[in-house]
Amino acid sequence: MVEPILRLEQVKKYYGRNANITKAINGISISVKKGEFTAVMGSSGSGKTTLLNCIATIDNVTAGHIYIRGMDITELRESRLADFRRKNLGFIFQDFNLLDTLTVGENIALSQIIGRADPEAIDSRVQNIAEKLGIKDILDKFPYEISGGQKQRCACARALINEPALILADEPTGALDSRASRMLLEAMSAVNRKMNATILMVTHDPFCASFCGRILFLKDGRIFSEISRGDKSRKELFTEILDTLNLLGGDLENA
Amino acid sequence: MLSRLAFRNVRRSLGDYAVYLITITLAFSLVFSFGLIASSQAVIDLSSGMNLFRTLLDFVNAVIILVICFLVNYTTKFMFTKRSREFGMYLLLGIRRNQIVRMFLLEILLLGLIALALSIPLGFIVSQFLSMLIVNIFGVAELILITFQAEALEQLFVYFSILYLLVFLNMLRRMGKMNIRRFLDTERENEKKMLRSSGQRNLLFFLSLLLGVGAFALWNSQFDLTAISTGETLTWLMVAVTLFIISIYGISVTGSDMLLTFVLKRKKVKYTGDHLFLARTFSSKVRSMSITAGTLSVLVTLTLLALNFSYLSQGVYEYTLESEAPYDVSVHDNREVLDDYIDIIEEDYTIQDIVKYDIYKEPKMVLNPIVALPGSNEDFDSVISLGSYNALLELRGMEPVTLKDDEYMIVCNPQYLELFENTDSIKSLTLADGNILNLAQITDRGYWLYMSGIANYAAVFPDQYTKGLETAESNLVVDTIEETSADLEKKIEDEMSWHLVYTDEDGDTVHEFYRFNVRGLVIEETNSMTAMISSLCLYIAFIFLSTVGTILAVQSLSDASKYRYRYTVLNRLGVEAGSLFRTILRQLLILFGLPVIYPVIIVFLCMTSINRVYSLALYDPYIYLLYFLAGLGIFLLVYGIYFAAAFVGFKRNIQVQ
Repeated sequence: MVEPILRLEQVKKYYGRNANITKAINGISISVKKGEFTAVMGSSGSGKTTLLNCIATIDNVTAGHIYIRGMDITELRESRLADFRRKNLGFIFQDFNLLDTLTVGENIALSQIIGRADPEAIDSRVQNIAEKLGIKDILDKFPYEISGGQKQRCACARALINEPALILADEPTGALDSRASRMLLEAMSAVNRKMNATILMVTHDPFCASFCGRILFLKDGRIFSEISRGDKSRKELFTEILDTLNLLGGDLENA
Repeated sequence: MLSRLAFRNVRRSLGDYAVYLITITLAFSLVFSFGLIASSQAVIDLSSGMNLFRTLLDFVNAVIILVICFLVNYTTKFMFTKRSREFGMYLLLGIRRNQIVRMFLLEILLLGLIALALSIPLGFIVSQFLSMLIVNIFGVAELILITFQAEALEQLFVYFSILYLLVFLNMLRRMGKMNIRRFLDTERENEKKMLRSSGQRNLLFFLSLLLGVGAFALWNSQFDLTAISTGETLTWLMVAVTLFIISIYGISVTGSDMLLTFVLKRKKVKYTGDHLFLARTFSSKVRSMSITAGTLSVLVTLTLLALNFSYLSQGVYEYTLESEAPYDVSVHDNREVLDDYIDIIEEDYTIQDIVKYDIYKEPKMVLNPIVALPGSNEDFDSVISLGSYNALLELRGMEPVTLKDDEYMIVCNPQYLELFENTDSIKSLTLADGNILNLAQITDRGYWLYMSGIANYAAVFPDQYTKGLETAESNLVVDTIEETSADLEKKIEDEMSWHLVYTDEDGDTVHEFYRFNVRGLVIEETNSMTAMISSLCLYIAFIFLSTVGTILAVQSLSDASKYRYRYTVLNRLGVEAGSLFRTILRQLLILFGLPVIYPVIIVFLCMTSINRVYSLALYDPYIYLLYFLAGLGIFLLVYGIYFAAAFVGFKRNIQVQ
């Protein structure tokens, strides 16, 4: 059996002390296979961002284990985390987090340069990914010179440059209009298909989730439900997501 | 790549931290220029007092470097907090923490090096201006050009290295403790709120106020003529200063918060104009930067004190000169040798006027016991004739005095004024020959330290009463057209040594050089003392003041970009740009004003105390008020520049239509 890219074993994350304990994640076990495009949905406070932060090594788990490519990241020391992140993880955030002193091309290449990759190879990689995401013409521009949609595709390219085992996206369309959202999601889908990239995306937007192959629904820190695209069309999946959300209840708009 | 990133970040920072960069450049250039002056042989040769200047300067520099260190450290911490999320991003991208630390420290160092590089030519230019000032003070005919001294440059580099080493160590400690979560969240954190309940706050406020009152009472008690010379004075003053500092911190931590609560609790005040917005905008800042505000207030206090001392030393300069050497040359010696002094003076100077006068002995001795020092063996009252006294006054351009036939007056050292005034028995003086004179006035005007070699006072009698009296000593005062120089003192010492140097019966060599006094030498000594104290005080004041100004300006400018949306919202809600700018003006006035209020009160009270002693050395006992206002004026002028820079930058940053 092929080892999954990501495997969570009874992961728990508690905040607070004694009587004031908040169980943000309360025993989640999942596994994500290579090439899966997975969405995590849930109402506000359901624990989806905490889950993402634990997988991203931003937060430590209270209990349980997280394996990425078979390596238990909950046991990794701080000194080894930087290398681990560079080689295995890619991040896409709602607010882009591009470095405004670097050009788009330099932003994409940054982690490769830090990893001391061959300069020639870096350039061709940047060109290659930029082409896939439709941002080849803006590589020499600075972040303040381009649109939000372009910024997010740049962030997406940055996440992809190292061909990481797992791409983590936190509400990537949150700051985009519907047209830019659609463009980004189509680009992410294409990357998922063509490069066989594994993507885990937190979102509260059913339209956004309908681009994924698998959707996990969280409630009160646990997996409430899970649906897969299978042979369904995107429209059919979208309807199914809405149905599940109705079942889930809660204020999704504020998620 | 990381160093390229650091360079680009520095370029970006130049705009944001221009005020900071200008301030540390000026600070380094002052450190350098004072170093150049202190190591310039031409300046050292000007006066023997300049050696003391070097020692004092080393001490002052140590304090100044600490304060610059506080400024650099604060700004570095500030830059770090502002960019911590960006650093968190670097960590997420897989950059190691030590690489990030290295990049950030490189940026800080680059900013410092830019300031250092600019400060060297600037400091060199400033030193030429300082030299012009010194030349002016010493009345040197030729301009002294300060040469470039490697010693001063080395000293600057050493200070720079120590300063940045301290800042780096602190930053390494801070960054070493942080994990990725803290990096991502630090930007949103405030300094910890110190006091949980308003009860604790009120208690601390009143305790601090009480401590301030106690500190002042202790301070004030030490500036009493009877207490000032006792050995414990310095210890008590140090205790008072410590109490003042604690009180300033206490008031800073609690005062603004109390004011805010007052505003927010009263609806009438709260809902008037922009009070609510101002109070709310300010509350988060005040409650979180209390300790920094305390340090700023302490620095403001020290700045104002330094400015006042600078003026005071200049004020005392005139007095010192007038009390020690109002005439070009004064001599008290035997009448037979007075002409020998005149001959020596005449060799180099054109004599305009000569007054020879005697101090007589009035054997009844009523006045002497009042002021005589223990062990004094004079058994008479010192007397001068009215004619001689008026001649001395006229030589100084002062109005002569008149006395009735049965009147006398006392002219004395200001220190003894009160003693004579409080003695009723001298209102009517019965002389040895049975005549009775009534006291017309007691004055210290016209008295100078070398008026008489034997007493700190003289009774002025109408001429007829001095006729039969025995002469105690003869005096000579010479007024020359040219200003005398210190060389004349040396010349008189050499040429009169046959008379002034002798061997007593015990075989010891006795030098009686105290018998004459040359104004030129006093000017030189007083000049160097005044120049030293005054310039060092101004140096301290400038560095401290610019540190406070920079911290407040950097804070304001950062707030402006961080909270731009607040003003945009107000603007969209219909508040016009004009009234929005007035609100910003008020907001900055509060931010800049609050750290100044308590220090101004403290410094005023302290200077009033100090004046109780210093007024003896000042022509006008209330001139310290003028010094205080002038010091405050200079303070507000420089502070105002930082305020204006903060206001202009704030307006630009929020970009309201």
